[in-house]
Amino acid sequence: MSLDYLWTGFGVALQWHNLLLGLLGCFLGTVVGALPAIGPINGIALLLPLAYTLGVPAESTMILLAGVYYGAEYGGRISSILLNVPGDAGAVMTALDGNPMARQGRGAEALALSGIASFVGGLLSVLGLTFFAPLLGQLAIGFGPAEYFVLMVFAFATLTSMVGDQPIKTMIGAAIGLALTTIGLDPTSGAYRFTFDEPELHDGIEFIILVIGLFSISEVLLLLEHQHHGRLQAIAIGRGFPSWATLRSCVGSVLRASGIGFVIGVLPGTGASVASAVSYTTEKRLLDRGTFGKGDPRGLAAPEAANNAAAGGAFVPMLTLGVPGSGTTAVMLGALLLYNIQPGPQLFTERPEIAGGLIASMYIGNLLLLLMNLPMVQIFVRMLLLPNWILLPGILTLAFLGVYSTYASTLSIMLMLGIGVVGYLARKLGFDLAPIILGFVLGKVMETNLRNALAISGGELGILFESTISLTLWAMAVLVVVAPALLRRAAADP
Amino acid sequence: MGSAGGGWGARVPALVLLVLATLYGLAASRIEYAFSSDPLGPRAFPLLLAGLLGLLAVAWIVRPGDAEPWPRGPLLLQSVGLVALAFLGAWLYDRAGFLVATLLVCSGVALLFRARPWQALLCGVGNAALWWVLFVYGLKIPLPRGAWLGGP
Repeated sequence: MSLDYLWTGFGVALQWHNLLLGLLGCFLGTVVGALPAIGPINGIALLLPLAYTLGVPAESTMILLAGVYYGAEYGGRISSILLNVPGDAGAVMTALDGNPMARQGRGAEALALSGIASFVGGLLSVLGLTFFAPLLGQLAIGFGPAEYFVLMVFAFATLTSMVGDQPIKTMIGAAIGLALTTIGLDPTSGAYRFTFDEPELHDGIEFIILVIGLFSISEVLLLLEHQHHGRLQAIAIGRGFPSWATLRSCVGSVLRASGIGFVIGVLPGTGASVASAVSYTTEKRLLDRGTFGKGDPRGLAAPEAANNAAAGGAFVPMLTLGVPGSGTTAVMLGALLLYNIQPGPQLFTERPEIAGGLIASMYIGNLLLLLMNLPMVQIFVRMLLLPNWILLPGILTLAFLGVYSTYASTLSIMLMLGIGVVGYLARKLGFDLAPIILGFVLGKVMETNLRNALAISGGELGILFESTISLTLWAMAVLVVVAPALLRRAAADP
Repeated sequence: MGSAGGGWGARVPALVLLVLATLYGLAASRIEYAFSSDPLGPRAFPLLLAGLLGLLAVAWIVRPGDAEPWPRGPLLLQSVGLVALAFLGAWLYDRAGFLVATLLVCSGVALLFRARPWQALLCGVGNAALWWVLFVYGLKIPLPRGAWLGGP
């Protein structure tokens, strides 16, 4: 296995403009992570059209957007600890022990400890990404259209069994995302599908419009409803740093959590929120002597290491197989497709500046984030209490600007608003939006591979069950759906 | 009404999805094409999805699951107001220009998020000016000026 791509990557990531974009991404990521109102998907969705319109090259855009993604996993902990309100979905568990620590006057210690845990989790997962991604890539070289199709089936199976507690709605979301990709010109047959003779629809639904509408607009509407909860009070953080003994007591938890986080991150469709939940529960089961939930440093360090590790892990299938490991990497995959780059095993050999540049930037980015989140954490703490009336008009303006600057039509803005209302309704009905985006970025590839596979076999469906790889993937798909139900039943039996 | 597993109110969205899945399937079966190089053609995948969506819609009707309550009263009015304001802003974007549309949308949204009137006005003026300077002068991305500034 050769790591040539990584050296090429460092050459790219160390160029001054890429360093600056990485720094900007990490900073903005920490901000959107820290602010309860917006999460990493929103940050990425709003930045993508700007980078694209400005003609920023693909590798630099990826460095910027990835910085927002893993930066947000650092930032989310700040509001979890100080406000007891998770800054993003991956930081829900962080509040359980982080906030009690802050209430005991150990706020600064909690912030420093979780910052270090984030760094270790982040760094270990980038190492895992560096070595594991090319290996998986080599495996994927043997994939034909049939294997790719079954891989997508496996991805949706994992998504259904892991995301949310309402599997039917997860499946509906994914199917809607897939169906949306069938709108527009079908390149194989030249047929226009579901365009209703409307030229605007010939190219299908634009990714940027869909993402900004679904996430940003629906978020503003939801926040309008939830603002009656009253003003938040931040706890004064004081001074302090975790003692050597505290740090040592957390080593085992952080290492375990990094491993769990990375593996869960790699699994398609499941990201930081699942990873931090699983690692917290694991530590609680292993170590709890009645201290968890009351400010146990290990209960704080574990989920923070896990959510950062998951962010790195999620890039593995995204870069090597073109199957995103989380909702946010689904948006990043959409960004690559926007640049006409289809990820896959060749990405590491044919476009090492993108795969390598991105991975190399994550080493640099995690170092920058450690600096930003230890000595400079006060900057982000001050931003926490920014009222919504300052924040949300700015987000709305940026959403308008992003769509308008990319498509230069007010009709696109209205389409985005319409999609936003639908996204709001869906979230009220208990839907998670990530499956829709995952379906949308995978739809074209899934259909093309299915049709190519059947073109090879002359219409025989048997080709989908022929190779060892396909059969293994089918078996894994069945397993991820059936196993949780069996485990639950086993747990219920005395 | 509307509570989990309760009356038919909770099932209306699932019924809507069932209708949409049916329409999608019907439209898929009528896709016209002269020739396709693959045996499956352009209809098969949408038809597959239509069937899947139909089945899932039925499953959703049987088990509606949990949903959040809908906003009522003044809150509903505010939500509708926000959407209307945003659409108005989109409509004005070309016609009255970025500055006017943004001033209006931002001030209005700030008010909805409980800013005092002077704060809302400041927010509108600030957003309009800041993003205009950043985009037009900083990033060199042209924005609609509106008729009153003599330009598209």
